[in-house]
Amino acid sequence: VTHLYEIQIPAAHAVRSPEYWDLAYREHGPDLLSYMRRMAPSRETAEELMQETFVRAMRADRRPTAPGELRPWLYRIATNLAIDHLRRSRRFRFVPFIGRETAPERDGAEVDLVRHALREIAPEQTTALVLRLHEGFGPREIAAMLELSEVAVKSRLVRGRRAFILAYRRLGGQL
Amino acid sequence: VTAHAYDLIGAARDEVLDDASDAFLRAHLRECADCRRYERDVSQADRLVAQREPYPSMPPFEAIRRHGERPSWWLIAVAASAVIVAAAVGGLALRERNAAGQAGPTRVLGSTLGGTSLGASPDDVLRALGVPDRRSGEGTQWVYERGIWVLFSGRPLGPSSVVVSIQAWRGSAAQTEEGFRVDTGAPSDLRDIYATFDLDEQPRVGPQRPDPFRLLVARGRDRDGRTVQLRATFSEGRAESLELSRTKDPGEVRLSGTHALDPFAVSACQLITRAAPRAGYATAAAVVSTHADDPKEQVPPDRELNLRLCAYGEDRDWADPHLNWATRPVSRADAVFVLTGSRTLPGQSAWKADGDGRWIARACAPGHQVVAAPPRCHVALAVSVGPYLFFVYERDDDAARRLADAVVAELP
Repeated sequence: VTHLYEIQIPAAHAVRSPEYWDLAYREHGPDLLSYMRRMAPSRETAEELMQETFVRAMRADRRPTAPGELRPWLYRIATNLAIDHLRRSRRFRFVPFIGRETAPERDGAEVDLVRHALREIAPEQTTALVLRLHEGFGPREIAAMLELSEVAVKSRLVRGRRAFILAYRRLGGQL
Repeated sequence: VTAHAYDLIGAARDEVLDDASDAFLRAHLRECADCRRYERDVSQADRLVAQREPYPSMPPFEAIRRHGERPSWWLIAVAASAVIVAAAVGGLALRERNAAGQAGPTRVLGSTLGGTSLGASPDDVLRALGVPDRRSGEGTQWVYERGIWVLFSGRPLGPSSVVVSIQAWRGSAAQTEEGFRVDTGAPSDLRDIYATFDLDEQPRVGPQRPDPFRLLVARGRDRDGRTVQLRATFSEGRAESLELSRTKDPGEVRLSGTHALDPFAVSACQLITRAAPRAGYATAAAVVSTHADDPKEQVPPDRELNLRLCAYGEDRDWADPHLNWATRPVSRADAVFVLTGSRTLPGQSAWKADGDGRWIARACAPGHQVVAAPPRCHVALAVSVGPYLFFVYERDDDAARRLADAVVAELP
């Protein structure tokens, strides 16, 4: 994989070129999809959110040009989308179509349960936990990415863990 | 056990504690069984959240690139111009047809709508579709969600009902809308409805539908606290259907109708809705539809059909036979009554008329203008719009003629 910052072309041109985004997609798309998949109720939703992340990035007026800035910036967009999605999904309950029932996605009871529990807790805590534990970002990196104080991020992590444990147990999971 | 210990246990997973805190936590854990248990839980929870699944397969980048690329302003301008020109050309063509003496109540509208699939702005599309200027009391609300622009717009029908339209755009590829009536049962302000509408979409893959389609759900409340829910399904970027649910009592949701969403259908809806008041109808819900072949959707014989009764929400019980109109593509080959200016007797229809002899199929010109009726309808006026046929039911022949004239007068 060619890393983006190895492309030696002027930044202003780079962020507009199809090749740039093609590379960005190949480089960061799988991670972003995996990130979304941890929280989204289905693969399709995760794909949708990941794609929307890139669409917004490509349409953004200001895009990072310095090496290494793209990845956290994409995660920031993705996190905002994820939080919006998690908030919205709480506000609606869907009544299935008669005869068009969606088969529940079951790719592992424990995995599903974790995903479900993550969606039960506050979206800000969910994203902080997944960024920290699943994506491996440190509290400082998350703080910079989301433009929060490090204290705020740590607080979300501490509360998120507690909320996750409660939600996981409430849903029948055993620790 | 103090909350402080819980916080420290959590914090210790993310950072190196200072010496004092570390000492405090160690000492506390030695004494407190609850906190030791909590520490194990946290460790286990971290492991669970950190568990990585196999990377899902990546969708191709091409579709994202198309959506992500910002259209040039000149392209938008060209597209908008194309829509307006298409509408103008369509209007001219119709006037020429009128001048050539092709009289009759129906016209072909397809040419006026040819531009709606272009990448024009929503307002351009609205203008091309001939949406009337907003009047006092009308309202609109834009919602942007997950790359889809949705416009709720509506106008009052009477003291206790409104017509609401939904239009959705995804990129520049799909535009959909539908006009439907919402009976509020009490004096309503559109703002009451719009203020609480929200939107969500959910990908769905049904067992009978291998292709993924999207679902848009908008839910609101009318002034009486009843829930109004709109559900639109999309397939491959095109709207597939709209379902309106409305509670008759707070907390109860029932389906009351199904319509396919299509710019052509919308145009016909708007056309008839505008025309009906001029034909003397006090209420003018759009009743533009083809009738599905499904026997379950046949109109019950004792149902009196006219414009007022064909509005949504008339069915008293979902389990009973009901007015469930659905638009669907109909080709000329499907319409057996492609006749010229004549009435048609029952028993000659692919729709299996039941022979009660009271329905009329009317066609006004060969080729483009097709009128036909499903069984048990007394009089039907059909408008051929693009690839679709739209039927308007009226039991009184003279009223149908008046309506037909009004429709013609509304044509561009």
